[in-house]
Amino acid sequence: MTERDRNKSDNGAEDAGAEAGLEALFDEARRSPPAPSRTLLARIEADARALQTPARGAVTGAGGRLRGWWRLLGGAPGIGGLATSAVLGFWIGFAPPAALDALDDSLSPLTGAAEDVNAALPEDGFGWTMAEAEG
Amino acid sequence: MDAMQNRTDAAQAEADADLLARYAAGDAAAARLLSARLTPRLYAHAVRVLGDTAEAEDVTQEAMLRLWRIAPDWRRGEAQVSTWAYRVVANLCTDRLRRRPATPLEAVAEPSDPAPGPEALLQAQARDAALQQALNTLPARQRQAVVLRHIDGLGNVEIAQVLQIGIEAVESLTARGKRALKAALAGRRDELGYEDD
Repeated sequence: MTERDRNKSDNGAEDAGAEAGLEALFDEARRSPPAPSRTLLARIEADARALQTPARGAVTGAGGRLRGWWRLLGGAPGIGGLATSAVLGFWIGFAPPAALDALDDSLSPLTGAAEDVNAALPEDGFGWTMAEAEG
Repeated sequence: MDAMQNRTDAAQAEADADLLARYAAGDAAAARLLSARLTPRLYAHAVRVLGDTAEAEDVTQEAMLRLWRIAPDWRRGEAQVSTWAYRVVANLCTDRLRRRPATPLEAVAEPSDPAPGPEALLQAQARDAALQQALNTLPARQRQAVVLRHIDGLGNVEIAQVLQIGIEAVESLTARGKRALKAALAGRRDELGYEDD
């Protein structure tokens, strides 16, 4: 065995020893981890209680039903949209804007035609009154 | 064996997620059970990485506080609760280590408590202290990776998720970390009770 081989072998053995020693320390560290104090656990549980919302199943009675309706109508965005459309509809009916008059004018041929059709209907209601008279 | 371990890990992850969902739904007992499962692991990790029990307590409490806050918005299946918590602890530890003044390696490599004698050094407590002193010499990321892999027992995939790096980077960090630990402990083998083969 040359000097170089001997050194290599020594280094290998030394490294194996260091590896085994380190693994032994890791094993001991795994077996006996530092444990949290009771005070820390109590602080963590107190935080949890402070941040916890009440159980969903506990919501009953009128408040619960109201919340049910609220959710059914889409919550705040849904209720907001519903209120906006109601106010807008009421306002258009109460004081129609000028643009709506112009729209009415543009539709008047159709409206007029409908009136003409009504005027052209026979007064006897397509013979219905005649049939009654004959009867 | 690996498949069995994977099934066990999956069952543990499911149990954690169930408890978090129960907590979010208002179940008071769920918080205590989940805390009992997670706190010891997070605290032990923080102690090993920071080398300071008071700081480790603060970090653990802060991580659990964030877990309670996120509980109502937790999206099941996207991450494991324990992995998420480890990640928060790792980030908090990194922040604290960065804020610390740089310490010369030779200052931390030596035991802070003078050796009381060879007999006492053979005790487990002394060996544990030696490991902690050696860990303290490692750069922050190497230290975290070594602790997660060799003491907390996490797999490389989970460590990559915790440290938000690639698996190859995890392998590199743990390998360099172990080499540095062996070098830091090299002169203390006899006093720590193990010798070269």
